[in-house]
Amino acid sequence: MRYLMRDGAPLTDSQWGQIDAAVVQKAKETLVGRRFLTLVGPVGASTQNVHLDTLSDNHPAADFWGDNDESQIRVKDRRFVNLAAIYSDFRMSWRDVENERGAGVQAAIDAAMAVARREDDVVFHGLKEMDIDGVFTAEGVNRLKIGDWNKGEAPLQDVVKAIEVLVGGGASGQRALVVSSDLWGKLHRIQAGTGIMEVDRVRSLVNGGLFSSTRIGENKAVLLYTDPHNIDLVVGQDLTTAYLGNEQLDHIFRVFETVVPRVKRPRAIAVLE
Amino acid sequence: MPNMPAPFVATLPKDKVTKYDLIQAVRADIVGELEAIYLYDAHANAAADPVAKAVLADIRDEERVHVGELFTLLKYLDPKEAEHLADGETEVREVMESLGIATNDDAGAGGLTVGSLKD
Repeated sequence: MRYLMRDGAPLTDSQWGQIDAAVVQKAKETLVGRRFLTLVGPVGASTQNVHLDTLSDNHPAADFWGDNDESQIRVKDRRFVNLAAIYSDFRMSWRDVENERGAGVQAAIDAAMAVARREDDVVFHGLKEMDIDGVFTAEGVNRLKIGDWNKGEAPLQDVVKAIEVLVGGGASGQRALVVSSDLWGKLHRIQAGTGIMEVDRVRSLVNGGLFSSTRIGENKAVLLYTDPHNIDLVVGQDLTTAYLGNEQLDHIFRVFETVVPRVKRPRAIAVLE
Repeated sequence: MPNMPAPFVATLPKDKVTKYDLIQAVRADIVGELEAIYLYDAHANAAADPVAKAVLADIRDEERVHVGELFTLLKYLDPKEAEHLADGETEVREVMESLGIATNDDAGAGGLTVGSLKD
């Protein structure tokens, strides 16, 4: 991993250990997409793109007589998507470097948080500049009108409706629900006449987990079937820290990673907005 | 303790040694460094005095660097040995993968990685 240029940094192994541990810990605390998406890789820092296949039929067909070519399921479209290089730089003063007691690690933590948030931005919204589709932006995802989650059983009804739409479209397997922070709050109320929190009723419907994210905007939610034949997340270089060099005695570092979400079956996703 | 047939311990050879002898000498040097790590580590762990503990641990770590240098030199001198060492690394990675354990190749430079967060 010479490209990380760590040998050029004036840090001890202990200091690198502190930075690595802090960066990974903060990323784990921040990331949401990786909690429900299947991770592919790391496939290596040198990997610049991966294939993304679209199959010929969103409703796989089976036949009986063995002479019907039309029922073959095949790759209809194969395109190659670039892995986005997400990074955030931070600076450690020379005095913090000399300190050796963890000073300066806070900047690394903030950089890790910035990269993790950006990864979730790409997972949910894609990256138009690189022609990367996200959960909310992929062409063909189901778009449903969301109800008023302050009222009655609207949350449960919306999720049930979304499940019906997706199952009707052929989806199966584990399903996850991601809600915006404001909706997360609205789920935490006792449902009248049941004595049960609305969040618990909704959670019982999503065997792939219920998550809250600050990265999807307000009054939005997305239900998706998370099996890797529907969607996955390819990691080239997993989140790590490189040394960029020194400037006026201080030292510059980069927290970075390369990732791309692959939305293979948009019909397995329902956006509530 | 290993009992290595160490070339030119007492007297230096009159002429430059053959490549084969040089490779053998480097192997003996690696053993010597590993012995030193073994001893310094034991002494550092046994030392109650914090300064002695830190100095011995520091020397131990310097010997570890020497092992890295000598292995790199060995691989340069004997590419065939380098291939065998690489085969060994691959075999261990395969065992780790079969056990579902992430290898260092998957990890960041510090051996830490974020990886999947799915339950």
